[in-house]
Amino acid sequence: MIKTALLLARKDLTIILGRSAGLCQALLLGLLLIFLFSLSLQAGERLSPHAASTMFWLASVFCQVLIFQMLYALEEQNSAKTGLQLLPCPVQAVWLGKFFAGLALLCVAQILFIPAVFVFLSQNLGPAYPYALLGIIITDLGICTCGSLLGALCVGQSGRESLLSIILFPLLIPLLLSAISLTSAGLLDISGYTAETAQIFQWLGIALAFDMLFCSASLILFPYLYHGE
Amino acid sequence: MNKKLSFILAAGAAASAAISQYLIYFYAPVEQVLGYAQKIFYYHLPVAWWALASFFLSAVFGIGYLLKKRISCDIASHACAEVGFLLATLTLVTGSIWGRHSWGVWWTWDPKLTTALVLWFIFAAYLVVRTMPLPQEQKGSISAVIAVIGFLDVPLVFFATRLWRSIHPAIFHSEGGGLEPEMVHTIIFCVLSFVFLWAWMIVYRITQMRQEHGLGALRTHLLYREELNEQH
Amino acid sequence: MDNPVITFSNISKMYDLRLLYKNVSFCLYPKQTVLITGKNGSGKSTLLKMLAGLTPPTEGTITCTASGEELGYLGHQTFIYPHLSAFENLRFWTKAAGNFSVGETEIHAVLKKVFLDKFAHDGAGIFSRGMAQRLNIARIILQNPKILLLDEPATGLDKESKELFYGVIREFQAKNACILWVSHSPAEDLPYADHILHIEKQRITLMPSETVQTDAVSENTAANTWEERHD
Repeated sequence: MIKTALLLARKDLTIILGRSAGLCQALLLGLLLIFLFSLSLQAGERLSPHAASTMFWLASVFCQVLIFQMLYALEEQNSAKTGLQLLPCPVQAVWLGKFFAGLALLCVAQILFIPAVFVFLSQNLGPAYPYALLGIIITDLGICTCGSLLGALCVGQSGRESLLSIILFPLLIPLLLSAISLTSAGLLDISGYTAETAQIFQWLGIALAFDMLFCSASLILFPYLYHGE
Repeated sequence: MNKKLSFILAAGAAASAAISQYLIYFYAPVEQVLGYAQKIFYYHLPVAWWALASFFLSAVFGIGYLLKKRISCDIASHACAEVGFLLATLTLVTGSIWGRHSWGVWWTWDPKLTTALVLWFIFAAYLVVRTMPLPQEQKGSISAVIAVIGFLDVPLVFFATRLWRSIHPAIFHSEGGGLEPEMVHTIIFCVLSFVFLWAWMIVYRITQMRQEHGLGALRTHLLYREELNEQH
Repeated sequence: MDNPVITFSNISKMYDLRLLYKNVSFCLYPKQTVLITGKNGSGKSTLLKMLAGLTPPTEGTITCTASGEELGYLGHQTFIYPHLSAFENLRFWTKAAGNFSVGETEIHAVLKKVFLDKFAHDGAGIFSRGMAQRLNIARIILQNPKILLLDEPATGLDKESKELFYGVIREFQAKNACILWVSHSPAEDLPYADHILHIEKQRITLMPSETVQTDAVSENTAANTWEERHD
């Protein structure tokens, strides 16, 4: 199953990175969001780490909706979805494959967004940045878990981007709260850092709990979503 | 719909609503700080609790549908979600009014309030999916999955918002201290007696949806029976 | 006689609110080529989909002795990714079907067989209907299934492509595959089949094809002449 999932992910990445401009659109949208938010700053003013990390995650989440919508749209032509359902392995392989591909694409996007946050929103790295990085990784896992599950729901529906957003965003709230807290902790300087330390582990715990819960839920529920015509 | 059950529930709802009104306005004392605005509390709590109960039942029936593929589970899940959505809307409205009077703001990231809002959003999406032109089986599965993951999210939302609020200093005074015993009696009666109205709404919607489904099935049956006869 | 590869026992199937078949049972054996006939909407494709596990029967059980790798599906839909080349499409689907060790030479040989060797590295998005379907046929050749499900695969093919397709069917028959065939033009395909499975009025009739006249099949309303029930 893992082998098939990796094969699927490789195929998806070949198409999206090599053969279409879909990813560029998602990246540009995210960058624009971050850039436009810098309009809210007065000249010389520095955005609070909290607001900066909120913008970073908003950009990431919008980007992720586009990514998963794109990944599942690949199977819409020529009934390729039926082909995947017929494969001699559990259908969860499709979920896992899209998860891997989505994770890779989201990481590419964030590698672009992180410098943008420093440049446009004038942030500095604080001493707690390893926790922030850890937080980003754990959050990305959770976001892609949900994205891969719910992306299947929107295959072939009209208005699928907005449908995916309205289901995904409320669901992600606990994860986003923890992601925003962890990321802003990484942007705080030393004076702010001590006040935050006590909660870093609690936030990491919530993010991990979210990952576990939705990972197992996805494995159980995915076959119910990815079936039919 | 079972007429007797319907009558009992409706009569119970009417009687308990009347008694509740009496308790709220004549038995329970007027709160000293908030005055009459506090009375909204007696409406807020029942709708909030029963909204949560409806969403929970919707998720349970959703699981039932995924396991058994029985249409009755799908209908029950849908009916619970609809009633739950209505009650959650009322919860948010009454909660906001309450918040405005007691905390001075319409909205705050209070754990309970946020949990209610997240559930409201998820079940709004659920009802959107219900309107999509899909085969019954597929629609049933998708809705059930949304109901289940929506409910799974509840504890996480609750704990995350609680932690979130403690970062931001608690500007707003949230608990009003101890309640008068008369107030406690009233609130308990209001919450418990709301079960009549709630159950009546759900049973009524289930009956309607069953009839709708039955009509659809009958229509299809007749349509294709005609076609079968034509072949002779 | 061999053991049956596919057994339908007491199958009923609802499609949305509609009953397609009521309590039908039959067995299929290796080396059989079965043509499925019936009116539009009688549930021919649904029969294949149930067999492929794409949709469950409402009641009853289907037993299939073949594993997932041994079950091939060739429909009028081609499963082709337009952004990948013909070669990449074949490599992906063959590996995904469980054959991870497939070699480049093998793929090129099959591409040559379906006259697509010149277009091996062109994007499949620009392929005509006939070329795309030949690529689909190449996929099924590489998969080499024991049970082959055909859902109107010859729709929209020109004369050469059709000849290629019938040749491939003959090869599968020589390899003792069991073929289930929903046909677009039953009269044309009848010579290749040895059994006919007719769906009518929620019932299924299975009979040897010699008992059926070609013109009767082409009318597609031949049920009245088929009195004999076969369970």
